[in-house]
Parts: sequence; structure tokens; C-alpha cells
Amino acid sequence: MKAWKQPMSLVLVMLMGLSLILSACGGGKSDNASSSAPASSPAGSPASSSASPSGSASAEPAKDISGEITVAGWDYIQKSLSAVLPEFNKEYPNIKVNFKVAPPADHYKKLTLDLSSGQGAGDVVAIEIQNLPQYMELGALEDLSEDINAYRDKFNKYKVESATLDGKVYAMPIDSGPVGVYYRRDVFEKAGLPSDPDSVAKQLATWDSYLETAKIIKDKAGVAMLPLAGSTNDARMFQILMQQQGDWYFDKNGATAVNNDKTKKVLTLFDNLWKNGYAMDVQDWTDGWYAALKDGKVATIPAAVWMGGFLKSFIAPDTAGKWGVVPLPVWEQDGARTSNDGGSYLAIPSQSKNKEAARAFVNFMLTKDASQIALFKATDSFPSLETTYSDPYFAEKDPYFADQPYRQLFADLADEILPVNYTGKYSEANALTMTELQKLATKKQDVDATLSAIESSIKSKTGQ
Amino acid sequence: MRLHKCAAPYVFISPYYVLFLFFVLYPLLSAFYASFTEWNGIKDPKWIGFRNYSSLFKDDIFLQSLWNGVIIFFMYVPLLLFLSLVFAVILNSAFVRLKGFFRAAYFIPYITSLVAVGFTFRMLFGTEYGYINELLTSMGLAKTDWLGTIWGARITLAILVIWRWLGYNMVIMLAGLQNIPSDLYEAARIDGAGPVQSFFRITIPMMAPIIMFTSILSTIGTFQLFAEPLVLTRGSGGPENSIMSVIMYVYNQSFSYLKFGYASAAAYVFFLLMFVLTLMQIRVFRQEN
Repeated sequence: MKAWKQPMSLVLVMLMGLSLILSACGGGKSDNASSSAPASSPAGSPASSSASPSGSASAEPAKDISGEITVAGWDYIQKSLSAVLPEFNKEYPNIKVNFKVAPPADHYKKLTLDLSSGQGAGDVVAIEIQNLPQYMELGALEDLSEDINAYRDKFNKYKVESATLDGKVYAMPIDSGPVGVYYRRDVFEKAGLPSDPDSVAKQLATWDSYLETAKIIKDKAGVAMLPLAGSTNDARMFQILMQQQGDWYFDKNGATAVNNDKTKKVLTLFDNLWKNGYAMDVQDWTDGWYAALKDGKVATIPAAVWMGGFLKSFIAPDTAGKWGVVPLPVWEQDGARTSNDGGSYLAIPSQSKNKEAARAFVNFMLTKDASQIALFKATDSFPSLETTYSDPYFAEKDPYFADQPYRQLFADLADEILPVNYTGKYSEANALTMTELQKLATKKQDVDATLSAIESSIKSKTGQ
Repeated sequence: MRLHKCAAPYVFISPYYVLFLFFVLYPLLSAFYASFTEWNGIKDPKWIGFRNYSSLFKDDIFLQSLWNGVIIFFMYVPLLLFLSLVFAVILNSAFVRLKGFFRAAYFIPYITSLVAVGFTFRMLFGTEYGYINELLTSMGLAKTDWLGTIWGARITLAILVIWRWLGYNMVIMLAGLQNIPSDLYEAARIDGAGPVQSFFRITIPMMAPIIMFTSILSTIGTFQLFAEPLVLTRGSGGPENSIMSVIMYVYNQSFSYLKFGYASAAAYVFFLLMFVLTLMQIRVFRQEN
């Protein structure tokens, strides 16, 4: 092969080789001016908007708005919002709503590309709480401060705070994910423990007593206290327990602040659960996990309000009457008895061609009690709008939970959720933490080493 | 209008090169520029010189993903090439019936939707309820935590890759086998060589260029594995990143963490490594011949 001797062909071969390996994303400069407002007002302070301060519905859009809007999200979002669509179209007969649906991971990848290319993102997009800051920081979302002003005090405080950047609110809350402990009444009885919610709440009042109970459950009932993956841990429970204490990877200013006593408590609890065989090493959303919940192989599962709907509908429909729910155990006296897991927002990309209709849609779906209750009834999407919590639907007894009014419990807890600063670096911090937790679970490092490894890897990789 | 007499061929090959310019060369050059910047994909790129490159060499996950490539390479490439050659020879021999069926059957994994493949393999290799473990326990053997341990995940990945790429490589080998003159085999048979001897003395030497070609493809392919580990681990990269591939890392850095500059730098470093590796392979094979 003499070809190698010729420099020109070498260059060509190199280029072809490159084309095999690289698929770069060559984007020119986008022409939407990045809205880098001066950070004069601290996050969370009421934006000084020009909306009418009286709280009377600000800028109620005219009913004769017309046009087509595209709502982008995942199938759950479509299912949820479709339930209220007929009502919306009664009010706005000339707005046609289309849905664009993809699995969450694909939805976000596509949204990133659409926002950076300046087209294709649709008029309304659904974004989960942990992904929102990344998109807020890109400066490609519409400022919804005026729309939310009249409802600012009616939404869960933490939800508004998590959608605020430099004093402006960029998304409207759909649902919240207050966390409690789901437990199996039959397993508790088998272990000789009382099984009514009030007694179990006392039994699991603190994380220390949770650990003590785990020992009783293991000795008397012979099952695990909870499912908690070891070598495949996804850091989800870890995050729930950090947020419960108002503790997080990053502080208010976005600096890495994970290395503290609160985080250490969580890691110590995990270490104890794994070491003593109280946790079932099984990955979330796998067959083994479903089976454990179905067959009572775990006594409890700390999870968000939406888990109730999942258990009922597809994970363990046959176990009706065997479940109960109690608040999360606390870390210290008067600590928050709940945390947050999941929950989404609707936002409007700045590139939308029909912002008026998009605004009408977002406001109708999310700021009206009736819409939020309808969403809740249709798909178990727990309202972030606190004015709905007095609705009789919350106090209804649920046979699946042996007639416990379980929604009421979460409604009572929702305002205790502490806000955390996800920042745009959340998903990387989450991935880095997974690895370190897996090492803790497999005894490759102890609690202190894990704590400092989480801190140093987040610091060096995110530069925050 | 008279074209220069040498212009015609260039006109004929131009469609490819025009596309190449717009869809390959331009992105390559802009990625090269991006690799010297901090860029989130939307706001203006910020020039930071060689900082991306210097942090790359301190990035333990990047180095780990390269190392993963080396490990998985030795775990499956020699085996895959050997198996695909053996299967090709068997399918090429006179006594096998239903050749068309077998060729198609071995090729099907390559064209099967990866989402389905990932789902199926996760079911097969599940720890509690996986079919493989059911089979092992029914034979009185211990369960293996396939996807939950570092080496278990690597073995599972190697099995998946061999299963998926066997047919593809076999077809290339088959094409090579067709080109070996049959009188060589006849002469060998007259001289008293058995089928095994013929395989090692005739087939393998005559197939050397094809084996080189498939081994280069497999090398680049190994380090470029992306969809397989992604579907197997649902994007996490396995326990402690044990089957995180370089391309998966680049993908995460760019589309999950919006570090397009850093990801471009990683891709360029990776390209140079691959280029050197391929040159070395060509050298080795040429010396042998």
C-alpha cells in the first residue's frame, strides 16, 4: 500500500477516520440574546414585576385566542393533561392542542437540541424538577413571573423556589412529590408489631427507631425492611434523605456543600442497613423489585405520593388492604417529616410562535383548582396548588390502604418540603454519587471515605 | 461549453464530497474549535485554550472508560473473529443444507432493534428472575449477579456483543472464503492434509487480509461501543462505571451535562488514540505477510 507514503491521502484518510468516530454537534451562534439578568435580587425574592399587586387575576387572556400549540412531554404528561383538555377547549374553542411524546430521556435530549437550534421545541414543554435548572440556565425559557404572581403563595413554596432564577420564575408547577413511608400491615403483624397508621408512625418516628424496627422485622418476620440497591444504587433514596434535612449537593450559591454532618447521617444509615442485611439489594423498577413489593418481601418502602398510584394500578394490585402510609421518620426533633421525589413543571420556550395560546393553556391547566383536582383524579398527579387540599377528594378513605385517607396525609405534609438548589449540574452530581454509593455498598470504602469522595468528584467535575 | 477533459470524473464523485464537506468536514472542524472552549450548546463558547485537554487526563472516569475498552477488547474480539471464521467455513462447506436459512439466522441479531435486545438481555440476565439464573439453579449451580457486579456486567456485555456481531463478521468472512481458489484445497487433499490442517495452513493464511480488515473494524467498534452498554445498563454505565464506553461518556458529557467543549476534546483525544492503534495494527499484519 504505497498510499501511506503520500501526505495528501494520509490527511484524507485521517478525515475519514475522524468522520467514523466523531459526530459533532456543530452549531453556529444562536441569535437569541441570553437573558443574563443582573443577579441583583436574591433567588426567591418576589420579582419586581409590573403586574397588578391586588392579586386579582393578572392579565386574564382573551377567550378568542386561536391557533395551534404543541405540548412536548412524555406519555404520562399527555395522559394527565388530556383529562382536562375538553374543559380547556370549552373555554378556548379556537386553540388546537397537539402532543409530542417521547420517553423522558429522549424528550430531554431533544429539548436540549431544539433549544440550541432555536426551533422545534414546541410551545409548552414539561420538565421535571431536577432537570429544570439546566434549562433555566440556558436562558431559552419564557419568564412566567407575571402569570405566577397571583398564585405565588398558593403553590408549594419549594416548587416556586426551584423554578426561580435571579428573581424570575420560568415554569409553572404541575405536581409535587411529598414522600412518606409505605408499609405492609401484614408484615408488621407477623413481626408482632401494631399495624395501624398511628402506631406505626410512632414506631417509625425517627430514623434510629426505623433501624431498630428493621431488626425486629428481620428477626420476627424474616424479611427486609426496604429495597435499597447496593452495587446498582441510583442515589435516589440518598437524595430524598438529604433533601428531607434541607441538605444537598450544592448550597444556595451553587457551591459544592455535600460534605457535612447531615449527609454523613444518611450515609451511616445506608451503611447500617446494608451491613446488617436489613436492605434488599434489588434495583428499582426491575422484576425482583416488583416481586418484593407484591409478595411482602420488604416491610416498607419510603417513596413519594405517586407510588401509591403505581402500587395500586400495576405493581401490586392484588395486595389491596395490606398497605398503610406514615410520614418519613425524622432525623431530629421537629425536623421535616417528608421530602420530595419527582414532580414536574410546564414551561414555555422563548422560541414559541404562539405564546399567548401557550400561556392560556399553562394557566388554565395549572392555576385552577378544578383543573388540578381533575389531573389528580385522572392520573394521580398530586397538586402543587395548596388551595386544592381542602377538596373532599383528599379526605376520601382508600380501600387499597385499608380505608386510610392516604392523600390527606401527603396534603398535610406537603408544606414541610424544604427547597434545595439543584443547579444545572444536578445530573452529573447524581451520576458521580451513584458510583461512590455503590463502592460503599460493596464495602470498598467506608462512610468517611465515601463522603469525601462524593465531595471531591463533584467539585472537580462540575467546577462548582 | 467544454469541460476540461479531467473534470468529468470529479463531477461524478462530487455528490459524496459535497455532502462530506457540509455534514462531516464542517462539524469536524467546529468540534475541533469547540474542544478549546467551554460551551453549553446555546450561549457563546468561551475560549479556554487547552484546559479541556488537561482536565481530561486527570478525569478518572474518562480513563476508566478507555481502560474498559481495553478489557472488553481482550474479552471478546479474538473469540468473535475466531468464531465468525469457523462458522463461515462450516457454512461454506458442501455438506451443510439450508445455507440460506443459517446465513439469515446468524445475521438477524445485527439488524434487531437494540431496544428490544437490551430488554431481552436484561430479562435473560436478571439476578432474581433471569432465565440464565433459573437455568443455572436448575442445574444445581449458584446464581450469578450478572448486571450487578463489575465482571458480571462485562461478561454480559461481551456475550451480547458476540451474539450481535457474529453474523455481521461471518458474512464478511464468507465473502473472503469465496475468493480462495478451490484447487488449493484439492492439492492439499491429494497431499494427505485433513480438514483441520487445511483450515490452519490454507484458510487462515489466505484470509489474512480479511481477518485484518475485520479486526480493525472490531477494534474501532469495541472502543466505540455505545448502544449496547447503554441499553444494557439503561444509561448508567454499569456498577461503578464498569462498562462505560468512551462514546457513552462523550454522549453523557454533551447531551446530559451540556459540556459540549469538553465532550469534543474527549472525542478528539479518542480519535487520535484510535488512529495510532489502527496504524499499529496495519503494521503488525504487514510484517506477518
